[in-house]
Amino acid sequence: MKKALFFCVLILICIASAAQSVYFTRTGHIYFISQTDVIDIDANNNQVASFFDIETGKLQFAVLVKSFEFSLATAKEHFNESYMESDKFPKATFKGKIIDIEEIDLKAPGIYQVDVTGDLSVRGITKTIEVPAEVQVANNTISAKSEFVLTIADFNIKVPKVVKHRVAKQVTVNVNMDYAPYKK
Amino acid sequence: MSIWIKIFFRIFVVIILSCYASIAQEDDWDTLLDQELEKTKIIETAAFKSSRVLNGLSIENLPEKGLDLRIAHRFAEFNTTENNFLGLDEASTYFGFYYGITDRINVGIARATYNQTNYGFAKYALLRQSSGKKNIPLTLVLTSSVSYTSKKYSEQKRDKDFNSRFDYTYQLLIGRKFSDRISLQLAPTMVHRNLVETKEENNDLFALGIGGRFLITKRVAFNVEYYWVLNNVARYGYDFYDPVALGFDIQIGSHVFQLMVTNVAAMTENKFVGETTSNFFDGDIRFGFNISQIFSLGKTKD
Repeated sequence: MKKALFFCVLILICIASAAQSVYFTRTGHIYFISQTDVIDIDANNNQVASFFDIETGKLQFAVLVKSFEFSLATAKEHFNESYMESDKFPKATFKGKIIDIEEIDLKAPGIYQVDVTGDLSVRGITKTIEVPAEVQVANNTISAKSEFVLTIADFNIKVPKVVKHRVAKQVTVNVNMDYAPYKK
Repeated sequence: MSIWIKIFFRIFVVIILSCYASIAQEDDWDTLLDQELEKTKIIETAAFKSSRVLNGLSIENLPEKGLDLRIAHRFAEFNTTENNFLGLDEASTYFGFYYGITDRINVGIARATYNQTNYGFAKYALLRQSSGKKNIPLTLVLTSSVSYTSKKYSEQKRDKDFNSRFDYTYQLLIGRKFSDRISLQLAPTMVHRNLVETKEENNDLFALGIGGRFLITKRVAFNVEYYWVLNNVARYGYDFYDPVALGFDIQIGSHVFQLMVTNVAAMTENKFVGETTSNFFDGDIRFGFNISQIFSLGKTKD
């Protein structure tokens, strides 16, 4: 009987540790801006879904392209209809991992500078990227931040000649995630 | 005692197995993320490319702080006379400004040469087609417009009758974007005219409008619009006809050009619903266009 009890406890511990390493958010934030001499076009999205496994460093993001909100009137329509073709390619995803995950110590609250690498899929085109990120460990939550630059031509986004001076060739992307332990 | 422990143990194993089942699912992040994305709140936009299907208002609203400068012409009928360059020698013209107070509330003012009309409208989106958290299959828009005829009447008493110069139009636009290519709208319409020309005519006109678009390429759409006017009667023996329009939207940047063939000469609802004198199906067809240039007046809050 003692054996059984011991077995039970062992399994419990296993589950507890396995479950705790996975973090999740549904309200992650992505901001991007296209800057030209003529006009700045920027957009926010607060509906980014993401998983993050703190043990393995595995990281995954998904977002619906149509849920970006622009501060400039009419930009949203052009973004979805002409540039991103959101009906054809509704979501953008990222699958990757934190390279130097072993540097992050869950028990030591603080800020860690790390590198993230993985596959970014936009408009059905997948590209491997490597970007710097900042991970902050606090009591029971983990937040992650990253800023990087994307070249829109890499994702086959075509800008009509007449508006070429209004849309930047490269956009700056800010990612800001506040994770909580994942509960089923 | 040991029986109780056995039962306890069995329950425990079941609980653990179910826990493991859920942990196994956690590994399938693709599926879980897709499930999450289904809850993303999305409001459909761009059911039509412009605030007007062709002649009548569409369910499409300008976004907040969007300003739409509109210039429109309807030329004479192709078949009026021999030497009028397919009707292009004469035109009824219209220019106006539409503005998005919020994404839901739009207003507009315009001047039309037809009867020298001053025109204003307000539009309110009661419901907007959405998916995700809330699933709303339709867009419902209430519109109300007022037209003031400023032309001079030769008869003194008629000319001085201020109230008689006003017409009002109310519409409920019921629309849906069925796919990225196909959108349709129904427009139950009531036009109230303070004064009508003859005793036989009705002050209140009822009509049902139907409009649709088919997106051919990203920047070109084909539109159709028809208003079925239910209770119009002839004036001095001349019949009125239902407004019909077929045309293309061509979008270049923030410009939309709407090129059409129609039997409508006036560009305000009260006149084109109530006083269309050309019979489309008898060849009384005009060329017409709307030009729309949208500006952004500042940025919206996040």
